[in-house]
Amino acid sequence: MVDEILVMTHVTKTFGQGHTALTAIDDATLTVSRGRFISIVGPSGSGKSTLLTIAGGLQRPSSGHVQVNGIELTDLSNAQVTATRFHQIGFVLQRSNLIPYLTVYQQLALVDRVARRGERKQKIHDLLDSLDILALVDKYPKDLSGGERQRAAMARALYGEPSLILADEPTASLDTGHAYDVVRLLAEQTKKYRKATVMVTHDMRMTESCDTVYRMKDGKLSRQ
Amino acid sequence: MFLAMQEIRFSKWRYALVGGIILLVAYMVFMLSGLASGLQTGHTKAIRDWHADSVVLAQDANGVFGASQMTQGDLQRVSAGSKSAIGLYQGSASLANASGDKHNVSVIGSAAGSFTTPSVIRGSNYSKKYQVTISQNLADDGFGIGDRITVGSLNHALTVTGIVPATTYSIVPVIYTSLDTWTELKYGGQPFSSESGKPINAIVVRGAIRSLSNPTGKTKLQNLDMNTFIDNIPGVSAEQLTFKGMIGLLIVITAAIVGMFMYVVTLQKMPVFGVMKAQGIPTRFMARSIVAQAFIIGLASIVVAFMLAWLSSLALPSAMPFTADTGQWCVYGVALLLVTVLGGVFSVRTVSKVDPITAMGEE
Repeated sequence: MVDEILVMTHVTKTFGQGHTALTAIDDATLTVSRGRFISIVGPSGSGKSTLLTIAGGLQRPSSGHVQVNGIELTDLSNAQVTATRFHQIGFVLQRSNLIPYLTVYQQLALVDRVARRGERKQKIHDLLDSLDILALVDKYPKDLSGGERQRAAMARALYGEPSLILADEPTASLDTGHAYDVVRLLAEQTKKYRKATVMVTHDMRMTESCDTVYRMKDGKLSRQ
Repeated sequence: MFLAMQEIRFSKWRYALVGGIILLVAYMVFMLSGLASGLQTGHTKAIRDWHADSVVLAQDANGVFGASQMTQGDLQRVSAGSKSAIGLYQGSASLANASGDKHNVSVIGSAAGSFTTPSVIRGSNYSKKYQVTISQNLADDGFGIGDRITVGSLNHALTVTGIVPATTYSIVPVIYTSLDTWTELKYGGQPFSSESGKPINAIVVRGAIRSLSNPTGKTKLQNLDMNTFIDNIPGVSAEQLTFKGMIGLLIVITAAIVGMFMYVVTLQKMPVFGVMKAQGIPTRFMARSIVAQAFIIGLASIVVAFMLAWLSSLALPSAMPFTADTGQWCVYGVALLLVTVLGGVFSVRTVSKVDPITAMGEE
């Protein structure tokens, strides 16, 4: 069992070529261990979301290495990266990552179906209960409030039993009260299930419950 | 299947819309197919009733039944297991005693007891001159056993002795009679030098033809297998080709409709596919869901169309040449289902191109 869940070493991402090339991420190195909740703060366009997409294997770095739970993403084919994402990574996205035509229960049951196993009803109910949204089990995303939607998204991310949770501005669409709630829950779940969690946000106030805060500015990552 | 069903359930109206279009197209295909086989039957049933293998015609008739002129003597030139000389007349029939309605009929003359004379379901077969049997569908028009009827310009009334099962030739009911009666009906009192010089239209053969002698100076004979003979009946193949053309076009249209619909729906769902890809759900899973949707919608619509067409066939007036050939419908149904699924497959490429990064918020 690896303890360092996310290891990014000298990751650089450049868009375009020649003198128009734009360096979105400039030699970023980051390690997140099991049970740690870190956040990356920075203004719009600082490259923090790009860093998150590279950590999640949604795009490949121009140079450098990314390891998730001991798996070197840069060596894998696209299909293998997709499979790794399914088993190792849970996303909580800015716009909720829920599928509009599935109920909250079905969002989670879909994971079981993709994994070709029976629905684990009790497990789904327990997880929804721990996030305080058991009452919403049969509701569609359109019938949920912003905060409820983010909780459901969190449940969806956790249900796949990933080792790494990546949250991209999970509080962007919420009022302050609900935003705090969501971040607190994210921290709680990180500790409870011993996940490694990376949260990207532009809102410094949201970083109170984080173990470590990094700052991203013009593609450079530094510890706060 | 899970995603496919959930989405159909969630967006009922959207899928009902495309399902409705497929249903209407499939219904039209089934109805056209029914009309095509109805007309085919109407044109040729009396001929198919013979259960013959081939037909000998005069070669200069170019394969056309009515245009073929030969004589009873030519019967000797055909050496085969079973053969029967046939005379064809097309005209009108009416009840002799009253100024009754005229009904278009086909008259087939052939020797009583030959395999080209159908057995009666009521009454008895013709045995004397001026006796006829009529098909049930003509009996339905008000003709009955014992009735005296006038056919064409024949001065002598004909007596109905029996009813044979419903049948048609050239879409009209059939009267069966002896060659003698038929000759007088068609050629009036015109004298013929000998019995063997009397005209006939064709010789129908069951089993293989052993030989066909064509001595010089005599009408050249030509043997046609049953399918070729039927295709050469004026109008039949043109009609069938027209229907097949329309049906083929409708099947292509179905492919286009489903293809475009699934493509537009897929384009709309790109963000959702992006999210699923970010969640690590394999493209294969999403592709299967799209194809499954096309299949489910297609199957449901085609089955309903099938039942509707079948119910319609019960409600159609009997005068309408329509045959619910369910075997044929199944073939078209499967073809429609295949192109529907093909329409779904068309969108799979689009899904495989979705970049999961689209799931992320803009920076």
